[in-house]
Amino acid sequence: MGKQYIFTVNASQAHTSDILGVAITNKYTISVSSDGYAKFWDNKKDEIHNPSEYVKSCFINKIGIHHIAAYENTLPSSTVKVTLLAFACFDGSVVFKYYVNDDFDTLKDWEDTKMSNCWVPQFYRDPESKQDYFIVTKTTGSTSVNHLKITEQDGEVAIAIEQTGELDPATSSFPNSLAVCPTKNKKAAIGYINGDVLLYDFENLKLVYTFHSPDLQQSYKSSTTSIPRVLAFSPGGTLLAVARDNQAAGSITLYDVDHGENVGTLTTPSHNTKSTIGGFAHQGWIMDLSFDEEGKLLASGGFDKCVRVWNLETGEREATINISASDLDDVEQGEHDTSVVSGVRFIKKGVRGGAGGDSNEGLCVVSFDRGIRWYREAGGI
Amino acid sequence: MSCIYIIDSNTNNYQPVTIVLYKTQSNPSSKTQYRKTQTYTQFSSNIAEIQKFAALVKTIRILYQHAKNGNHTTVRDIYYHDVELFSRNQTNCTRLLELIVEDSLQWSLEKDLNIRPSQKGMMYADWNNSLHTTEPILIPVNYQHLFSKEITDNQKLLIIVIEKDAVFQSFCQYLKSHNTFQNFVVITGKGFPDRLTMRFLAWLTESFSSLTIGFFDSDVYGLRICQQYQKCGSNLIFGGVFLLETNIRNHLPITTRDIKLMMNLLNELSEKGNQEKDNLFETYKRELTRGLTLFRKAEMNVLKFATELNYYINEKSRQSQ
Repeated sequence: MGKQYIFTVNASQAHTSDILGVAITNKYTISVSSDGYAKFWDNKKDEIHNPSEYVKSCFINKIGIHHIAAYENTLPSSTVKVTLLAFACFDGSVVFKYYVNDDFDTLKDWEDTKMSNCWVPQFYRDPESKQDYFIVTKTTGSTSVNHLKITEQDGEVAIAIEQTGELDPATSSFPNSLAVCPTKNKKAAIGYINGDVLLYDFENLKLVYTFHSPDLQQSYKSSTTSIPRVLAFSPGGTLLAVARDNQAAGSITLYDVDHGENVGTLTTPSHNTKSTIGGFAHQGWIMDLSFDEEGKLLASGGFDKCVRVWNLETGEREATINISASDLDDVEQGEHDTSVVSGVRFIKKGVRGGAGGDSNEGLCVVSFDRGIRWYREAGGI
Repeated sequence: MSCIYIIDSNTNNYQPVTIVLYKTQSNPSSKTQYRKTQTYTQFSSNIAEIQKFAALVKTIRILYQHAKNGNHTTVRDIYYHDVELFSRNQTNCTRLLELIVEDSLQWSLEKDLNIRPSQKGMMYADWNNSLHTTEPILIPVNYQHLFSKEITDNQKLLIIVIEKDAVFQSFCQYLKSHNTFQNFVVITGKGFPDRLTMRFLAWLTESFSSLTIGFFDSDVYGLRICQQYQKCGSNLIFGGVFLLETNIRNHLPITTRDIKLMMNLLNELSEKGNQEKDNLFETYKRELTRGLTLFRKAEMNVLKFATELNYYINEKSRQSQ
């Protein structure tokens, strides 16, 4: 346990329903919920403030939102910074919104392309600034790959999303998770509810590797008890972390992206006889994974109501943060609230305002108790 | 009565018989109109038509004999008079009966001819004694006459609706050995409820001061069944089971088809108007969105359910008083 994380601020009852996703942009921490709203929490306030006083809210869809993807880029040969957001809703639609220069007041809809039957959206920002992508898994089983082009002329931003192809797994299984490698190798990993994770080259629309579920207890039909619930690429693009259900527990497996090999699992010591195969990382399903900026740490959170921070060099836990309703300012809870972690994100140095924000990384945790918690790494002030 | 015509039957010069069915349409502004719906010829070249003809003649004969003796019977019983004739499919029998009696004659199968669908719904109540049994029984057809006097109005009637037969049976066994509630009735429609179960529930909620709690699986089918019950007992409380209240070890994986059905139900619910303030709508939405987030569903556990249910019902009854 090498690291300590300090609780800075929190927002209790941030949404009226479960919070299901979180994205960190430079200016805002954006949370989405099944109540249909996206909330924009200001990152640039002092360490001691009440986030609920500075939050901005935007209605997206009445059925609710389950995923959010954010794209931030200062356009080439321009000073305009565009933040494009994709909200995946439970009716299968994807709603796009964008704002410029970190100014929420410029928030606009982008409705040129109607997308339906979608599930998980992700953006790819090309580090060489040649071709950006928007990739989204479909409820039909395939995954749509699109070119993304954002231009600016006389202060007006023009966005174009054009489909270039589909990644088809040739099975009818539902693609429930997606991760896009941030480096120039143009790889995307897609997890299916039959337990498989397929690694694609999305530029050439080719399947590169298949990582089968290690679960021996295959269930009926096309589903499995070891859903690859979350996938994440390391910032250097060499590792793919896959969080799978291991019966009632959660395991994290690391794969080498270049060679397609299983390079290890992250496990906590356990004497639990109920877990039959392999070790596990959490005593409940894992709902989210996040690499830190350097790719040395991986944060995971899930049903056991805790966030673990893993050191990827040693495979050991660096920190465990327990989440409980008593953390929140307003401890009054709804009948069906529970502090299951539904999202965790590392916050880069320099994003959060206040003491330590510039020199220390932080964490943001959202949970089914409708609370949002911000932490920063201790020390360095 | 004049809507079925049998064209010809001259025994000396035999001609094939043709049965023509007309649908009666009453229009308040004009006279009753007849619209030709079906024609069956005895010597058709179409095998299916001949089969239907035979089935029709047989059904008319059964109906005639049944009308003469005036007994109560079920559609299934009529179907078993000649299974082959109805192509081993009870739906064919039901369709023919509806065609002859309801569409053509404008009579009611139930009220005029005492022909009812077989009972599916089960009930168990602490006033079952009046029927000289302590076991769960099929919901009787003439429930109004049997139970009107048995249910006391001094105490609120507790109606417990359970989706599944297995859970219903184990809960009834539990209630038999534990004297926990008074003035209660437990109902199950064994999945989607039939009309009799729905009418029985509607009658109970309308006739007596009652509290209705329903227990269904937290999956798209359970929620659809709950919706069905809600139509006849609008004050139905959705008691569970809820996805996050059950141990994740007992959760079951969902299939791609389940996911599509869940999304469809969510769309359907949201299109039904502005129901955002409706508690039940919120519960459905929460269960469906959680199910879609976790890709899991929760089913009622037979063994554990009885004791937990008991605690929950006590809690809900206390809150509503």
